[in-house]
Order: sequence, then structure tokens, then C-alpha cells
Amino acid sequence: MSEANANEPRESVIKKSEELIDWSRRNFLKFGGAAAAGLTVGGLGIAGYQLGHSDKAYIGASDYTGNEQFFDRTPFEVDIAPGFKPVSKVERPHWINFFIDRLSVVGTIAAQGKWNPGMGLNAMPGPVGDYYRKRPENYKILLKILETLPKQAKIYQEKKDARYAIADAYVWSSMSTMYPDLDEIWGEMTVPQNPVTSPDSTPDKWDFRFIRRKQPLEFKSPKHASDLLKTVAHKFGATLVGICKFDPTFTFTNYMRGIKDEWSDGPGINPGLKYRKGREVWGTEVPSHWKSMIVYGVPMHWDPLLSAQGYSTSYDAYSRAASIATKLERFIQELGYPSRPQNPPTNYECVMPPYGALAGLGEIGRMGLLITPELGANIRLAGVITDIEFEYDKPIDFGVIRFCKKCKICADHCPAGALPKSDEPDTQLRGFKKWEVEGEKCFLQWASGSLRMPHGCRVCVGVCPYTRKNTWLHTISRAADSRDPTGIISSGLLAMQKGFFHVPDAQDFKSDWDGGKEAVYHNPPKWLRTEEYFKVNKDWTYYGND
Amino acid sequence: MYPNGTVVYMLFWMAIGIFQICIYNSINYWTKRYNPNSKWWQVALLYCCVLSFFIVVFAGFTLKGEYEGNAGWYMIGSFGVMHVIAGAALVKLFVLKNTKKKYA
Repeated sequence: MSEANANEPRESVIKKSEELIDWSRRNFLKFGGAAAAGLTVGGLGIAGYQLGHSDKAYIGASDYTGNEQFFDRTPFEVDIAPGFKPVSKVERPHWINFFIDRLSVVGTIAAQGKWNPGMGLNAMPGPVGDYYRKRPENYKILLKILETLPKQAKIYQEKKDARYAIADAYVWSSMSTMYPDLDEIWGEMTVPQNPVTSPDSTPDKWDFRFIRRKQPLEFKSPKHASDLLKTVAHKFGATLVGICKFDPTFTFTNYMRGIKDEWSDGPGINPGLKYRKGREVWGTEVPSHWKSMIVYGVPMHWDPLLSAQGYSTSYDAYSRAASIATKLERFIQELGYPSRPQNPPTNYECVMPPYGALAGLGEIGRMGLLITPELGANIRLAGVITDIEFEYDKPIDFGVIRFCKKCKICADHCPAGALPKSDEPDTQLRGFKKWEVEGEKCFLQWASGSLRMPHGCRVCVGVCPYTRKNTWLHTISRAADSRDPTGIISSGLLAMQKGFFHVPDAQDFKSDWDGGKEAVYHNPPKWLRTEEYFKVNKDWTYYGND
Repeated sequence: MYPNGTVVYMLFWMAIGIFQICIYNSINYWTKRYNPNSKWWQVALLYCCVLSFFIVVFAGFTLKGEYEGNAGWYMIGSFGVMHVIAGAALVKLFVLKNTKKKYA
């Protein structure tokens, strides 16, 4: 300490120190706030990016606990599922209403030599002929599909393999664990790879085949039954699970797997269980042990889905859903109860989305698919029918149909133009007012896709505003919108969706050989880009969001 | 795994919390300095505007992380500018209100 300082009165030193401290405090208050604001902006920017980028925000990717079914459905429970209030006589669907089965039968009669496109519509035999004679415009699209299919395979081999090799391999590998009998899929496979089974006898035998107990194990209560089966379904990998009373309204008539019909085999058709569907052999009977339906769903892997059409596939979710169905079927029969899986791609007697709605998993949107609070439209449904008495879930109304009336993004960006754009559901479909998807148009887009086979499109699923990662932003938006009776929040969200988010034009989603740019909603992830792993000549550009 | 890791995640949000205290106190200091008659709720409103701006930045970068770069930038560009304008209006109203009188 200097002499001057040493002689300084003690009070003065204290005063100076206090002034110094006060000055520092004041300075801290002055400028510390600005520094903290800068750090907050930087920190939240990085944190936000990380949260948005994290794979953990993808629901259904890794959890086997049921925790990913996080939406509290109780406040939204209703007695009648939205869109299912009858407006006229309710009828069950006939198998001919399902496009994939129509196409399957057309392919079969062509292979059997009973018909070919050169013979014309009037010569087309059976129910498919009757169907298309009533709808000649759909027949024209069918002919275009039949022309396009071989073209698609040829163009893939010549021009597209370098770009889509990983995506194509991913599709086929997922499919290999999905079909019950792979001896004839698109005429390419010869070796069955999958233990997933398909019925080869009537339900009174097939649905009971693993039961070894004389009496079924008696549950303590229907609630115990629901709790156990839901928990087990989650353990098997189901992301969302609900249970409803079995309602035959949404079960095909004149159709039952496991029973031979005239399109099951014949010259040019390899015998396979997938063709045994009892078409026009079975009537309208519903087996008496079909009393309850456990409905569950899993998402398609998100990155490929958002890279629809070219890089996406439903088959990863299909294969998981089929595997869960097989396990759940066996689990139920081990307890002494009959069971019958309903699983993708075509192993059904039931139309699944309505059952998903009845079981309270979600609502059916404009594109005809189930939209759920957790996964949006990114859900592939399956189910198991049994005679266990459960405590059933109730349908929910969390505002999807109200949102779909205003939104129309799926319809506006559908490359096939297959989705309706009317404000209100405008088609009376077997007793209910619905938006109806035009199956032929939709499939034509599949057949015009960039992979070597018509493996689906999914653009409508990817661009749906409900199909988003589970980040705080979307979760809060959905929760707020669901609770807003005025519709103001949904209008605001929709304005942002249309103003801020970039979605390629419908035409741009088409293949370059079909007049498009092969645009995608999100550019494909690294693991689907062949140029990242293989020595290929990259002569394409990506038209999607980064 | 920042900020998704466990300990780092907690430390990160603790730091963000401490920053908010600094920011609030700083706003309080500047408001009182220019307008000694300012009320607590005026300070609170100014802070809410700043906090809301932070949320816009957070939302914009969350979207950016989701490969929705367009939406992210539009979010920050539109709502961010709205916040700056609103913030300037609040400052004019609550902080600089009496300055003219004082120096007139």
C-alpha cells in the first residue's frame, strides 16, 4: 500500500470501495443483460436446431413401452367417430370396392388367358367386368396402368438404378419379411423368406389352430384384458394401440382368406395363399367368435417417408406391423382364445382405418387415411380379431376433419389428382359422407414412380401438416388446436403452413419420364443417397427442402 | 449430444434461466434510469416481449433442424421483425416517455 493510501482516512477508502462495487454492479446491469440476451439467442438457436434435428423427435422409432402414445384422448372422446354418423342405409364394402383386389383379379384373369386389354371392356369377365362397365372412365385409367407397369420397370433398369439403388433395395428387403408367401410377388421372387402366415382354411379352424387349453384363462375383468393386451402389443413394437368392439360394418362381404376361389390359381398363376380369398365363394357371414378388434399402428420410417415418392416405402412399417400381428395372434391363442390377424399389405378381411377411428386412435382425414395425434397420417394399421371381452376405447374427435375442410394441402399437392378438393365430404359412401380417393388415379401414380415396381406414393402422407416430428413446436400447436372450438388457431396455423413451408408443386413430384422433376418434400437422408456410398455417376439434382 | 444429453441438458437450461434473470434486471435498470416512475408491469411487459422474441428464434431454428429451412427463416423473418417493432413501441411508450419532458 502506498504512503498516500496508507494515510487516507478509513471512511474514504470504504466509500471508494463501495462506489467501485456500485459502479461494477451498475455496469453489470447495464451491459450484462445485453450479453445474456446474445447468449440466449445463440444458445436457443443451437438448442432449437438440435431438437429439430434429433432422431428422438421421431415418434415410433425406438420405444416399446407405450410412452409414445402420449396424447391424452379422454377429453376428446365421443360416442360416434367423426364422419361415421350414417346419412343413409349403411352397407358393408364388397371386395370389388378395394382397388388392389380389383387389380389383382384383372392380373389373374389375364394370366389365366380369360381376358386381355385387346379384347376390350365388354369381354372382361366376372365382377371386375361388371364394375368397370359401370365406370368406363376408371377402365381407361386401368388400361393406362397396364401400359405403364412394364414401362416403369424398363426405365428403372435403364436410367434410375444409379440414383435409387439403396431405396429400391430397402423396399425389397422390407417386403421380404412381409408377405406370407413370396413364391410369386411381381413374378420375381422364388424363395419364401417370411414366417408370417396367411389363412389356408376357414376361420372356425384357422383362428383356433394354436389353442392348446381346454378352457381359456379367465381374465379378472375386461379392464385387465385391455391392459394386458395393450401392454403386450406395445412390447411387440406397436406404437399406438386401441381396442374396439368388432363392428362388421367395415368388413368385406363375399370375401374370406383361406378359401379358394376362381381367381386363386389356374394356368399362369403360381399357387399361393395370398390368392385364396374366397371371393364370391364366401357370403356375408361373420364368424361368431369375431367379437373384439385390437387395432394398432406403427409409423413408416420418417426420413424416407418425407422423401416421397421416390425414396419412400410403406413396407418397413408393413413388415413390422405384420410381425406384430403374428406374435399377437399367437399370444392370444396361447391364452386359450381364438385370434385372427388383419395386417398389411393385403392380409385383411377388414378395412382398417374405420377400426382405427372406432378404437380412438385418430380420425379419418381427407386422404382417406387415419390421422392420429402422435403420428399424424404416418401410421400403418393392423389388428387382431378375437373373442376376448375388453374394456373398449371410445372414438375421439380432436379436430382433424374440421382442419381437413380448410387445409386441402394433400389434395393440392397430390401428383395423381386423386384426392377430392371439396370443402365438405361430398361422397355418400356406403351410408356415410366421405371424401373419396380415386383408386385408379392413385395407383397410376404408383405405377409412374421412380422405383422399379409400383410401391406406393405417400406424398399426401408426407405433406400433411399433422405428419410432423414430435418437437415442442408441433406438439403445442396440435394440443392447442385440438382444444380450440373457434377454429382461430387452426386458421392461423394453416396460414403459416401455407405461407412458410415450401412444398413442391403436384406436377413436380412426378418422375422425369412422366413430365415431373422427381421432387421430394424433404431431400433424402444421406443413407438413401447412392452417391454417398457407391461409385456412381451422379447426374441428377434434388428438388426438396434441406 | 448437446443439448439432448442428460447433465449438459440440465446445465444448459439452468444457464438460460440465469441469463433471463440478468436480462430482466438489465431491463429494469435501463427502464428506471430513463423513467424513474416506471411501473413493475411495464418492465415485465418489456421482458415478455424479449422472451417472446427468444421463443421465435427457438422455433425458427427448431424448424431449420427439421429440414424446414424455408419455414424457419420465414418464421424468424416475419415474427422476429414484428417483435422488434413491438419492442421499439414499448420502449417508446414506457421507457422514453418522460425523456422529452425531462430534457425540454
